[in-house]
Amino acid sequence: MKTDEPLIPLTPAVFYILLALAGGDKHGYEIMKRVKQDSAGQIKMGTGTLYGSIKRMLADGLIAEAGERPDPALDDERRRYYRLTNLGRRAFTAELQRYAQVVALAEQRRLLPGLSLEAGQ
Amino acid sequence: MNARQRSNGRSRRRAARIYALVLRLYPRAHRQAFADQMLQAFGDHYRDAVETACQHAVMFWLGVVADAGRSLAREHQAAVRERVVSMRKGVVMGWAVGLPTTAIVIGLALFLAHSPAGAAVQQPMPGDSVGRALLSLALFVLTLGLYAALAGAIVRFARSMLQSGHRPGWVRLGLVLGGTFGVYVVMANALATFLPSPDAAGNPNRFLLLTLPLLLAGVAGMIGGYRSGRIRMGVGAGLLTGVLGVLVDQASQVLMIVLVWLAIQHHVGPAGIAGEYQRFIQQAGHAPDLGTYVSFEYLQDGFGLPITFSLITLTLEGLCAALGGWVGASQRDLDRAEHPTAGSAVPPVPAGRPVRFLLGALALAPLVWIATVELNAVGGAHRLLGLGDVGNSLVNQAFGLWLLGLLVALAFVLVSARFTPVQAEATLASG
Repeated sequence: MKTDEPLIPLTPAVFYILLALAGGDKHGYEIMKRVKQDSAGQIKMGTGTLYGSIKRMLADGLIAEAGERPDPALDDERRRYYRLTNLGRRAFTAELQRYAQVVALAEQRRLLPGLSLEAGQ
Repeated sequence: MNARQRSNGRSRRRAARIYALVLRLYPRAHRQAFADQMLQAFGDHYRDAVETACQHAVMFWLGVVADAGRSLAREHQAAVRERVVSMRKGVVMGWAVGLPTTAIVIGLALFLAHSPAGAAVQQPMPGDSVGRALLSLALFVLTLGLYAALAGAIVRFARSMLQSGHRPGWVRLGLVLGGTFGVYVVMANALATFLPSPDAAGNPNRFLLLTLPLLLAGVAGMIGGYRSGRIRMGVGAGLLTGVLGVLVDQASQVLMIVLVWLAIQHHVGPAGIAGEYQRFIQQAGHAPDLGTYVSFEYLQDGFGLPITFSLITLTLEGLCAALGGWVGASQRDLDRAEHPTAGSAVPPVPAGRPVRFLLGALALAPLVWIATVELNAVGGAHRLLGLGDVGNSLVNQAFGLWLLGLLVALAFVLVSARFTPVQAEATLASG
């Protein structure tokens, strides 16, 4: 069922799943691991939470099942891989831009002393 | 494989079995879509966390339980929301289908009660006048409730169609044809009220009143089905036509009664409705049985007759509209097969079809007339007419007048529905 919530801003779980898939197609457990790694352990997604998010993201058209497996020979054929859709990529980019704008604004107002975008790049 | 690996394998399988039980707690749709993947991800997670990273199994399971608790609540909440949404759609369809069905059952039951079969099974009705009055009130409220429910269903149906982005052509069609019939019944009721009522056998109005709503509902259903390709759109157009006609009919009858009420009270005014009401008021000394009650307290009192008649009419109109919608949608499929370039738009109507439509109606007219007079005889005189009577009715001038009225109505249908080749092409272009 398609959810009615606006896509932007993204929830942290959705954002990190998109971030994980931005690097390539992945199956569920790979996504779980990548999310934990990318968030420095701050987002710990269990199996239930992960597949609930995947279900909603599939319904919203942010992700889709990948047609091809990265390495069919070495993998369990029952695994499902997921990929970003165009909409998912646009939503992810828009969310990144929103973050960048917020950080730039905070920097402009000197709310983040000692931190600059240049320093982070 | 060493002992440790064997032990790990056993504990992982045991953990997977337990998690499979947890998965049974998720909503069915979620389980069917993701249970295998979740089980596999769980196995991977268990292997990495407990076997490789040596996390304590208790800590692992605490995390699993917390995650399952959160996601179970969320998935069941989503499933309930989804069910409510689909239930709303189901309710709309239920109203659209269930109420006409209910009307059919009630209509047929009332029709049977008023027929010779009903007369044969009449039983004395127990109770005093207060009980009969209460029953009368209950029947009246029930009937009005049915009308309100049917109108509500049609409004909901229309709203859902409009929200789903369909062009509301059938709404316009229903309004036009229902309004046409409404104008006709207002005139007929006015004539029946203020002018001397001719003998029923020679009164084409009576038969047009019986025939036209069914005919218009069928035609509206056919055009609605043709334009949309969906039978239910045709049914919507036909029922809207019927409901509008019935509402105008009821309102005009009430208005006429109000207008002639003084005459009724003073036992003057031998004309149409006034005369009939006067006769009804003067009815007395009837046995308090169910048949008398249905005939005089409900079927023939000020509101009962038009309401009951309208209910039966609406029931039959629903059937005619469904039949028309089916014919229209089927015809559209045939035309689309001949004109594949039309795509999902209305296919162009062949040039000769409006003429064939009128000729077909003329050919069927005697059958419709016979059915109408037979129904009228069964409803009024509780008997079927013989072949001789039917033959005589076909050479009666009332048949000619009725045929004329029928043709005028059909011609109006063709004009108001724009059921012409040129207009259909325009619809195709604009659609």
